Amino acid sequence: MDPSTNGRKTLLRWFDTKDRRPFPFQEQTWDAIASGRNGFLLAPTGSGKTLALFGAFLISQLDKKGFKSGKEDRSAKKEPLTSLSLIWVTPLRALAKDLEKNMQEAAAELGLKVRIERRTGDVSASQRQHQTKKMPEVLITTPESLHILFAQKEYATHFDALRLIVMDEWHEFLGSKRGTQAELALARLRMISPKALVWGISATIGNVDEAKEVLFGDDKLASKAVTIQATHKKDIQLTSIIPDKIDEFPWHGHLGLHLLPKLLPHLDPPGSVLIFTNTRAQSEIWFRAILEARPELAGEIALHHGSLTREIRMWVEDALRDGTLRVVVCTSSLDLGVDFSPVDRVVQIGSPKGIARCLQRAGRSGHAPGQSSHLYFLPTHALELIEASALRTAIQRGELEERYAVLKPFDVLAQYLVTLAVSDGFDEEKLYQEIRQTWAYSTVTPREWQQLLTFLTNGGPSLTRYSEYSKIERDENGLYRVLDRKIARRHRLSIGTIESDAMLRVKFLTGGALGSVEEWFIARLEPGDSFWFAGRNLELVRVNQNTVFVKKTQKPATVIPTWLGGRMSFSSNLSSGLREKIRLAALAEEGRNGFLEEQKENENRKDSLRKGKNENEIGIPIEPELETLQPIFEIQKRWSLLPNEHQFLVETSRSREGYHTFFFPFEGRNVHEGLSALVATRLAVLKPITFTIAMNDYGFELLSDQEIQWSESLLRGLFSKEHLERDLLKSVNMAELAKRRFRGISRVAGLVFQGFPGRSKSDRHLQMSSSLFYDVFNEIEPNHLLLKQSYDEVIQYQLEETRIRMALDRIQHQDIVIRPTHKFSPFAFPIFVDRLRERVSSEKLVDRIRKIQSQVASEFTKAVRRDS
Amino acid sequence: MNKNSNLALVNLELSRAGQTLLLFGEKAVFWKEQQILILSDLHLGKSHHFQRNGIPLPDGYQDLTLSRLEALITFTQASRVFFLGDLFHSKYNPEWEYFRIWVEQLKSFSTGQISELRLVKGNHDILPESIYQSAGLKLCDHWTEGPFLFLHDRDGAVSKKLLMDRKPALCFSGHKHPGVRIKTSARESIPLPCFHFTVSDLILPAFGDLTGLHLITPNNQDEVYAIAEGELFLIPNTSLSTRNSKRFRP
Repeated sequence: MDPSTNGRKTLLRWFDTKDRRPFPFQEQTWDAIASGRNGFLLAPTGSGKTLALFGAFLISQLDKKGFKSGKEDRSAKKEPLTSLSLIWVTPLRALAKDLEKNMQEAAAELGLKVRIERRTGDVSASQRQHQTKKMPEVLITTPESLHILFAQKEYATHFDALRLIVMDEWHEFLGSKRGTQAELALARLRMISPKALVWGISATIGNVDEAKEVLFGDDKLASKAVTIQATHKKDIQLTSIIPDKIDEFPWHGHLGLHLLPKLLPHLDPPGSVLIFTNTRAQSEIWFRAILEARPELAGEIALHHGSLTREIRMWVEDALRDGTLRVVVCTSSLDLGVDFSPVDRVVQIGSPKGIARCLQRAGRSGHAPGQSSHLYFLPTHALELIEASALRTAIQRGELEERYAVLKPFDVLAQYLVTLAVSDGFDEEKLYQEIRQTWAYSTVTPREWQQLLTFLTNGGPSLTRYSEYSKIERDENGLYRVLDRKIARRHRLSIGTIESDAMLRVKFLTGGALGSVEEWFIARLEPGDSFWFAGRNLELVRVNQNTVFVKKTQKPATVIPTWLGGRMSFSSNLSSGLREKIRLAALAEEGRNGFLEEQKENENRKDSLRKGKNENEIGIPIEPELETLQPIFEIQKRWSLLPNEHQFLVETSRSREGYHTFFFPFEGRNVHEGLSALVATRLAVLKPITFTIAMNDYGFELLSDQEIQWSESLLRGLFSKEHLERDLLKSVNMAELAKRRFRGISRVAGLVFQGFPGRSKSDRHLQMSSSLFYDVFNEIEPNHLLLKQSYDEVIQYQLEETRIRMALDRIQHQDIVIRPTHKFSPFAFPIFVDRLRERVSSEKLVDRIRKIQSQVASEFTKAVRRDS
Repeated sequence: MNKNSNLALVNLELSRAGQTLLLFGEKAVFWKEQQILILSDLHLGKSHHFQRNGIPLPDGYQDLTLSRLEALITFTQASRVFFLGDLFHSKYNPEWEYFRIWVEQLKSFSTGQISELRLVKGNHDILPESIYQSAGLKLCDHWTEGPFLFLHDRDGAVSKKLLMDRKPALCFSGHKHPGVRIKTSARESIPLPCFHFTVSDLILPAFGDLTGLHLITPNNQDEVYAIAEGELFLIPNTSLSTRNSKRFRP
């Protein structure tokens, strides 16, 4: 194909007017699309990836335009009714608006009259209707919205002229059910318009090949598709903000406010700063603390997190772009998408828990080519300094986490089948072949397929006796359809996979929305109480329906909302980095020289890995983080042990609360959750016992009122790999975890129906909690496809069975060292103070309640005695 | 939700307004002097209502609910049964017929023991009156007998006025599906259904097997009897979880 079509020349001239040249990867992409190839573009946010693919569309439109306006062509064919030629799928609704704006601007500047529109949940109904009548040339959308489109009659006609499908931020889709929805949508679109090209855009991740394979469904198609890499390697400097006196620095905690005075100088002009925190509550707290310490920053500092309204967030992004704001405290809400000019410095408060996240955040500074990105790391407790050094090493080595796609989620498939049955119906055999072309469902067996169809057509084996069930039925042509209009309406309203907690909107009495908070937080407050939200003191006036009305107040706020959310766990890469650093520290304790040598050797090894890179080979200093931690390592060694790579440390101690045992696999919170459940369950089989369990990213603790005689052989048995899955399934908190998973599954699969505005009385009669469904299925049909899925999800994605297996394997090859301690060691202390504890018990519920009753009774008598 | 194979039928005797009340771990109350069995919120027919709307809620639970009721009637030798509303979940479906047949058989087997089945109507009881009557149920919106008032939802506008006017010694009601979270350790708690006594009320737990819980926040002078595995536990306020906080219902 001729690379210098008129359209391409016009586009290049447009680049000239902006004083820019296209990047090589952009031109490569245009070439590949011009020659009709599918592809996979590896490019980070803000690298010009949008223009790489949208540019290809622009070129084709410009070519067409040139052709049309040419003298010869007056007899151009009548325009087809459907002109939708590019579908751009993005994981975030918020990104769609920015994309729309950027694309529209570019098209307008090039004099192209094309409709470029969004179709997402926040587009008005009339706009959507207009689109359904005639689709725009470019549709920016989300997987949900595509599926909602599939639920409309004759949806296939929209895609007749489709030329290009782009899956943006593909790495974000991996690992979520929205990704599975995207895979299904892609398979459908490819079936309807086989000529359309498919392109994915992804940030660099650890397993690029697999990501590509997931996009294309099978390796054959994937290997035919071209991979283009935007080479944009940036130098990243990571500097820790180190406390002056490590002895006064806490051993635990997650706020990090101790180091506020050391952060303040970094906020001074010149230059802009982004401060990343890990939770919304933390961002609110830090925002307040900074303002209190530096009131003169008012007007230059703002807050940005996901619970603030879109308007507020947009304002902050714009103000950061035009320089009105200099400091923004934010959460992961600024991780993705949002294209703003880079800031000068980035601060990360607390561990980012993963290398990719750390890189992404660091990348927010110093975007210009050749400029390096600078990230300041502010630890919230002493041990986090080890993480900083582990992160730095990982970044230097170019290590990245892998992301795995979700395999065979039947809830998503069940929803999809009903979606198709709601619109034009589906043929059993054809659809089976189609879904098997997606990566997620390529291994669905005919038996599983039948089970799912049975579940949808007659409710499954638990509904036999005198069932009245109907959802989808076969029509006279053999197609599966939803015939009941009410069922169809309800289904259309509940398409999607994102679970949302009940959120209440926060609004001023005078109008003007601030954001949203979780229902349970507001439930604790009475009218007149003040709380801190969106960076200001607010007084609760009243709660009406789903809205919390507030007014500004001078009264100091007593509470700051916290938002429930899973705690992040260490990635596998970071865990191994952490173990390595501790090993180095252990070596250092054996002799400072040995440490130095080891580190040098290590750096040399790294150099040989980084072929051809220019590297400073002499005088690599001991990392300041490890140097600072020296006194703490000494205490750890004196009181217990600093384990090297051959040692698995187990500490035991006694307190008023009972007998503590701490285990240190250094594998990250998720893996420890699984390991602790496993060990506790296996131990409970040996003798009747009750534990409470606590854990963090370093290790976990079992606390019991009975002393356990630990021995190496006992521990070897408890950490055995045999019957791993069986024992995990038996573990006592499995039911609770599975129930939590089932909450989402039952909603996606259409068992639990969430209300919607204007619902009728009979709709209200259809509400039932997912936990009741869980109990009912567990009792009547324990092999239910969706129940099994909830167990699988817990084992695979929550407890990360593969990593547990690897950890057990490692422990089996280590020496188990049991150390009784008089005081909680620096490693154990942060676990001990963790308040989130789970309980494992083999005692009967009734007995446990009796115990509590008698405890309460004795406390009561005690209190009375003290009074008299 | 345990199978009814062997019911404990454990009960607790209380005295209110000079009358004897037996609380059952099976979620019913027996008024001894008048031989009245009182229960609420059976939500019969729920499975089929869900099924007809495309949600595969398994059936078979209605039988469990009714056999538990039958056991209570046999055990207490009750002559009258009061349903405090939400007897049938929604619109008519064939599960009603199973209930009707159950009533017929109950009457014929118990040879005159049962003299009255009364339904105090609740918000879910939307069937035409003739259908209730076909099963031999007597209907009313509320009912007064002796020192007691019986109604479905004590917080309804009409109920509040009734309570003001009549000032009963105790008002029996349902509707709320009361439940409490019991703290079992510092960070763990379990939700259990309960009887909720206030100074002037007794709110009954939902009797039906396919019913959920609404967590309540008892006052200090309230008495809460939680039900676990058919047994009753008087729960001191201190062992309630703080997660019992009020919820806003949109």
